[in-house]
Amino acid sequence: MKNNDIEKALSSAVTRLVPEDTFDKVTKSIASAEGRSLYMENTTRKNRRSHNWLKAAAAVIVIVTLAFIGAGYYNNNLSVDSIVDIDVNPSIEIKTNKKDVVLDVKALNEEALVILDGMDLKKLDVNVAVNAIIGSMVRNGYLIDGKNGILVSVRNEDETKAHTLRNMILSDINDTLKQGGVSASVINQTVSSDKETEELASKQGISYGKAAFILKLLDKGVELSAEELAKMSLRDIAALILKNDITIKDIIDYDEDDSVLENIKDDIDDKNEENAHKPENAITLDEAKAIALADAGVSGVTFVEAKFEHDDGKNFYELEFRKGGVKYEYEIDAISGSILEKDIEGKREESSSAPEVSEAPKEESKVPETKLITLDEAKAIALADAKFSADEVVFTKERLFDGARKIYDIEFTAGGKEWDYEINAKNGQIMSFDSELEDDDEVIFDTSKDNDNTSKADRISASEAKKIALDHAGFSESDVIFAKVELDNDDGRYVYEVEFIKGRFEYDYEIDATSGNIIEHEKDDFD
Amino acid sequence: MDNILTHDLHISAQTSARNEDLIDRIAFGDMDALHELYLQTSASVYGFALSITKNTHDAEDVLQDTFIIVHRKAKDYSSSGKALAWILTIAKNLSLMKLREKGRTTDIDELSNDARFSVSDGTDEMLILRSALSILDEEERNVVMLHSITGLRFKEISGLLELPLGTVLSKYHRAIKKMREFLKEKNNEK
Repeated sequence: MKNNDIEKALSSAVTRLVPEDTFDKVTKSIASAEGRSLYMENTTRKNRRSHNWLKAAAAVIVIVTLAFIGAGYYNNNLSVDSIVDIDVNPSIEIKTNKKDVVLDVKALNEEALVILDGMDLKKLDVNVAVNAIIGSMVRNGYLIDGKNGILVSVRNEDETKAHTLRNMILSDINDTLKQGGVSASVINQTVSSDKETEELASKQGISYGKAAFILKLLDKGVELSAEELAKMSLRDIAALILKNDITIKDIIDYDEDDSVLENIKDDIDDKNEENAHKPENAITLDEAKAIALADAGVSGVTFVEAKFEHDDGKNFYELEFRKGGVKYEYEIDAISGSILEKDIEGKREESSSAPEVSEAPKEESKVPETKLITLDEAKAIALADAKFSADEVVFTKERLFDGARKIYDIEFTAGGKEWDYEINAKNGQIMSFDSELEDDDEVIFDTSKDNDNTSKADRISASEAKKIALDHAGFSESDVIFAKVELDNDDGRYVYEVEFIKGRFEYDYEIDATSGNIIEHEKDDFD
Repeated sequence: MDNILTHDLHISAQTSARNEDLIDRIAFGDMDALHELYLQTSASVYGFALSITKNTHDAEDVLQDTFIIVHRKAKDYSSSGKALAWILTIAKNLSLMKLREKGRTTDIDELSNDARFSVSDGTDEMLILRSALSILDEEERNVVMLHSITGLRFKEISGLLELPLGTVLSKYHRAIKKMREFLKEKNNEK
């Protein structure tokens, strides 16, 4: 039995095993969750915004707060020994007795209700409960990609006890995160308990630890209100700290190193570097936003993206925002303020009734919604762009992609490559295209850098390159497993990189794509 | 005759652009797009989840939860040309959570009780899948299953499993060899 047959059999067996009704379950679950989130929208999620998480952060930031409850503070409920708050976006408060058994678990906001949905954590050991909560957060899509922060606050009257509990919970969270392939970066904070912190926490629906942190930042002269800070993510707060050069060493201490803050700092440095290219006579970001909004004829939008770009000697602002189910993308010249590019996409059913559309740009409104270009026209557009005539190509796919956007998907082979075009059926615009060598990894030709003298037709094909390598090694194609056949542009020279496996050896070849000569070859034992 | 491998790579490159577009539309609440993405990637997600959990019920749960999260998180997805890898990362995390809940005690024997998994099911396909799940170690299994079902490149598999490329290639080679020998023995038994 050949490798290919084993792979085919595995693929086919799994495909047969996929349950038929799972997608129905997905849609039902989404429908019920949407009912719930509508409710949330009306309550605490009004101000939830999309977080621009730090790309470089490899670890979940965990701020652990220890607070020592003053004697008599909780005398009205003697059975409560410790209070553990967990705050991601959902905020959850866990009360335990002296034996660390959970007495009560409370959702402090609506998102937490979803996390705790159907869980009865009372009478469980606190670490089991924390485990279940973190697990539920992962299942609900939090903490998935290591770009979140967790705030853990432990409150107890006894310092030793608080430390013990902290360590227990922390190691548990760490284990849970490790299972998900994410590590935790821990920041410690020790606070004393007071009424002001309590009140802020309960008023804003945040953890005690976050409230304490915010109050300390306010003491340092941060120019935001407690309410504004409460709504910010941990990462955004950290960015603010760095931006304003606030020393927080006296508020918190780091367990290991400064990597968390370093990462954030790098992120900010990158931004500064972007801005370094900005000429002095450039318009401001706010001005650019105003130009885009005026052109789109909308207001009160949330910008998904708004940044200065310096590319190819051009200075421009890149802006993206959404309004009424329509996505707007603008590029505004940073000097003249003129619109370099705009792209407006919207949901068909909403945009037909949304008032914004009547004010949409002229290019779009010239073609009425219902009138689409024909398939033949779309094919002609693709051919003209690829510079082939109809009899030189073989069409492998021609389809009207009839989703929210009307797109013709045109694929054809010509000149040893496969071309894939997506053409806007409304206006004939080419949405995207790429060309790949047949039987090959994706190769996108950047014609602007294509400065070698050989035309594409002069190059050998991927199959020829494979054959040259195989002949040299003395194998036939069915003997080996191909790991890679890729056309690379190496300093203006086109080279095929061919990699295959035979037995316990890996073979690497570099083959000149013009002459077919073997430039380099290597045989490695990887066992 | 095309080598199936390069053929798969080809498909992988082509579909990734489309998946990106689908995720973009999902972010706008387009359920048709979610369905299309599901049709295109459910076997990959299910296969990967099955490879990690070795349990069809868990794999089904993971499949369901993965697409719920894809729907919820589509707006946060930043286009990187690696839509399938993103989806599979979600599936991986959910699968690992499943394992953790169960304390990693899952055994291949559970599969014997699954009617759909019966070996007498006509073809050898189920036998081959069973062999992959039973005789291969975790890493070998994940590499072979991902490569067979998802069409991801070894390089991408190496990123997803957080293993060096050399390890992925050697695991793949060893796994295929093990399965070949196992199947040969099975055939001789007949």
